[in-house]
Amino acid sequence: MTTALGARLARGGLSARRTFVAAGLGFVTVELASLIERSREPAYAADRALLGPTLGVVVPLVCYALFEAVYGRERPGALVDPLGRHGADRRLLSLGVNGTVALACSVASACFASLAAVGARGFHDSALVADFTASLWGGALTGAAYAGLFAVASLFGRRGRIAALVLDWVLGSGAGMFALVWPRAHARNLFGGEPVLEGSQAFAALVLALLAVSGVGVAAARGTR
Amino acid sequence: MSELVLQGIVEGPLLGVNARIGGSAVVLGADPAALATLITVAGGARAPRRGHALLDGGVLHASPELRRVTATLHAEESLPALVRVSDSVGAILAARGERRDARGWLEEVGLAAFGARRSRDLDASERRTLLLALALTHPSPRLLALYEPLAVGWGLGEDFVRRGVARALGAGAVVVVATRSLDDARSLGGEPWLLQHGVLTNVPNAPLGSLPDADQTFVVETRDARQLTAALARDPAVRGVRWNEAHAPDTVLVFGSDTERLASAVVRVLAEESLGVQSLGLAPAPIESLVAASVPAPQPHPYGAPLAAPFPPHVPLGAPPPAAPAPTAPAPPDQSVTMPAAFVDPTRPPGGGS
Repeated sequence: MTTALGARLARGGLSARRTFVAAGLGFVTVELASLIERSREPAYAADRALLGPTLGVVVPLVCYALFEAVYGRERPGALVDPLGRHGADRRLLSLGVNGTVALACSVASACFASLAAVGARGFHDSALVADFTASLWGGALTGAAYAGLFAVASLFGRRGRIAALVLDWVLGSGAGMFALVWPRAHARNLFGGEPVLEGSQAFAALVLALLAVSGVGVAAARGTR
Repeated sequence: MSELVLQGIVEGPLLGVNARIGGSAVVLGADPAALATLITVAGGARAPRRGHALLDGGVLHASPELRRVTATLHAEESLPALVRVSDSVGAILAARGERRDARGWLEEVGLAAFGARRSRDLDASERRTLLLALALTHPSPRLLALYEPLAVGWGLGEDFVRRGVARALGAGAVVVVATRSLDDARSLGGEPWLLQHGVLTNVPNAPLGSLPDADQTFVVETRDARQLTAALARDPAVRGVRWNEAHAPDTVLVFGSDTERLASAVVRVLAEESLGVQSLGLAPAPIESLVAASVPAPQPHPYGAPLAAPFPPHVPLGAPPPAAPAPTAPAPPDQSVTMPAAFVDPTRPPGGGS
């Protein structure tokens, strides 16, 4: 029940117009980038569209925008306290809020990744179905991992989220030890790019899933009941 | 009967609040920030930096079960981040375990007009009204903590508040009301406590029902303030007159020890001198008069013994200074009162006026 109240709080933020504007801009960017890559070199278009603008720019920014729509400049306490003081468990509220935003991030990222695959391949390509499926679940996992990262970063307010976004950009672009905890690095590995610490794609998927679950869990556990 | 225990609470302006409250308590204080913080902490909405607020032995802030039976009204209220007011009310009702229709509840308390409005469009007063109604209609409260419940100013009458408080008390709840107004404290009743300099003190003998006569003050607004001041200075019922020509040229404060004689004197002078008057009223008594009258017992202070007078006494706008003997030193240069004779009742010994 309390988790459902948290989900309602998140839906209240996500239903704002700017959420749809951010998602719409993301779709346009991904589609344009895919078409441009396809027109330049069809053989590598899917890889370039996914690893470049889609996972590198659009997915993190849209996930950031979704958290921004829910939390704004406030810390999570400001969102859950108006219900917490009336008896709702703040941890379960936080779980509901971040779980719902994580779901939204997953769905949006899955849509972006699959759209990039379709746009880059075209409907007549024989590898379309395989790429579409892989992009769908890979994108969902990446979106969830970003949600976990931003859920923890939101404990420090908007500054925390901006710092997380910048650090993911800077440190996640590498492939060494420093890249280990950033979704960008593992998303790149999952979609066929350079691996982190020579890890497999299964390892990348595992780390992304762990980032998602632990991020949402830590954000909930940090609050008081 | 429930019991609220405040144990060594240090938070913001609260410098070590200790109290054990059962039944009804009215907390008086001059500092609104301290009163607001007290209600926020006592109601479990915020954890204090040090100390605990315990309701029937459980830590309020850390227990959703206890918060569910706690109804509070804060100085500044915020609604859950849901689009419509009815959605926010529905979420609050659900959070405290009530399965009620929000629109039906809003109609029941006479706030149906709020239902269709956007939550963020309610102003501060409307939000406090809504939360006061929610607090007072809690079905089974064990703690009711209210900040200035008679100052919401929208729709709900004083009777609604009094009935809600009585119902909570009847159900065995602890009721804590924080207010700056002696009139509100008198109206709501309860064991008087005084929150001063960050410390809460029980003042069981405080004369909430009959304040010392020495504190009575009439506020007269007139364009003939100079003539009125001069005329009142000759009246034996008047202990003192204050008129500040620079800052409030149309306002005269008239002090006296007997309300009836003072009122008669003011009205007689206005009639005899044919002076026009815009308003005439009895000023609310300042909280300092309660302090002076109750002589609270000393309490342990977290940072050692407090200074004898750490801060200058608070004087509410439009109220006279505390009822202490007037200083013998001349008035400070920025005071424009120019008739020393008007300050002292000729029937009193020198130095006894204000």
